[in-house]
Amino acid sequence: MHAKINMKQFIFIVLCLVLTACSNQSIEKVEPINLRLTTTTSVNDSGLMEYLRPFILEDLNMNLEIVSLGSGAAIEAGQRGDADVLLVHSPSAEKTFVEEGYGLKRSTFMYNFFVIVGPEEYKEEFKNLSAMNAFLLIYKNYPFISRGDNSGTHNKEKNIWKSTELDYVVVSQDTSFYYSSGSGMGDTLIMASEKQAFTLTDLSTFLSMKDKLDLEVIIDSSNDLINDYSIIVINPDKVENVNSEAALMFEEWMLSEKALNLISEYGKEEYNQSLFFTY
Amino acid sequence: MNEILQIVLNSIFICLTSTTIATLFGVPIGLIMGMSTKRWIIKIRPIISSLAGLPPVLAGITIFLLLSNAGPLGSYRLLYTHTAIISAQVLIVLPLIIASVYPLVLPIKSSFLETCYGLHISNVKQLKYLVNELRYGILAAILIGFGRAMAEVGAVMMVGGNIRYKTRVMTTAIVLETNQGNYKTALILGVFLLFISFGINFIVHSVFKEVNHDSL
Repeated sequence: MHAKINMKQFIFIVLCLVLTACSNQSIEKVEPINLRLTTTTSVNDSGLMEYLRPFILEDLNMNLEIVSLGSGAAIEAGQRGDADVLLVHSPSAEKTFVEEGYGLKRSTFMYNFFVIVGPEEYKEEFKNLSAMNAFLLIYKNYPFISRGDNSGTHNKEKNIWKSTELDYVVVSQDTSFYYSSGSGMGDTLIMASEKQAFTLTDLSTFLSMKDKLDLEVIIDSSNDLINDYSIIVINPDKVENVNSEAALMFEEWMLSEKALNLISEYGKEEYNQSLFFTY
Repeated sequence: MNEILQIVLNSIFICLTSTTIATLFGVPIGLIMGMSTKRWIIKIRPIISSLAGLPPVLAGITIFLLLSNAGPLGSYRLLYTHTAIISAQVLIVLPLIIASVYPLVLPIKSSFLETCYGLHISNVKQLKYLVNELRYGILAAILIGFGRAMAEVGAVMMVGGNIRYKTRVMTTAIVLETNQGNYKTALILGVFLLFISFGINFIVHSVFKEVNHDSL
């Protein structure tokens, strides 16, 4: 009997302790705001957002819920109200998106370069070529793997083919050299490595996988390989249930000097080069 | 439309091939496993059953590593080909068919063996009679295998690479359309897939009914 009462008292004390501990915590901290950010696979795979996350939590008390999709699907998610803000790199699709009224605001704030990668043995042959001329040399001569998924990278590739004045539809159906993988950047790079083929990739994904791939950078920093990234805040008048207030706060922070400095520093430690440059 | 048709035919060709191969090996192995009284065969039954639940990506990665440039069969350049997809599907479907066939034998085993001994029937003929006896169960096993092959995504993506006009099949096309946000096309392809499954099941069942003069 005596022991039982003690047990009850004990449980009561423990409960009191737990409850006070809980309430103390919630008094100390205001629940962070959740922001649904949909971004392209290339940004997500580079680890940039994870690197910025603690700074955003500290400065804005904002918690990022990141979904990573290809640019095409990211924009679709924006239209459906599955995201508050987008971070994408597909300029022509972005413009249409904003023109149709889905985007409240679009700010192009950082860039990096696409690179053409391929087997090391062709490095000499492709030396000093622009991306356009490299594509002309690849055409019908060497296997080329395309993302083929309407992603930002795929759209860039289409634009380069267009600049060669070849008909992209004809090129993309020429199965003698053109392989449309319909996969993400990582899978496409693995395929290029296995087939010893050329492909267009963003530098950050390539660097993060380089030691697993039997590929080298063949063309880099050509002016026609620039890769612009933009933030788009979803328009609350057109799309229901989006948190545009938080999205605007996030956008403002990303354009601040502090954020831009952090972004241009990113990658220097790990790869000895910046992965993104800011405007 | 033309491309969708090509994808559909591609899927059907690949799955029929893999299911046929798995059937040719799986059904005899299943029947022999069911009939056998050898202890080691009885002991490996649970292993086969658990392989039937093998995660398809495991089959995928196995085939991938075998066929990849750095793998033992790399020089044959089979990665991202129909052969690669078919091999992965066989690896997935074969244990499923074996594991569905051998339990069919168990309930009729003793009476069947008695009859065979009584009539002095050879081993090969025994198998033939057994197939005839268990035809419905075996058919069901094959159809389950075929359905499994048609439904597979992960392994097919891994070893086939979802290459347009070459190794793109219905399931990988659906994933691609979904990733691009083309939910409508993805859904249309999904409905196609469902109808193909319906179609094949109906055809097989009606052929069976005719052959056996079922009243159903």
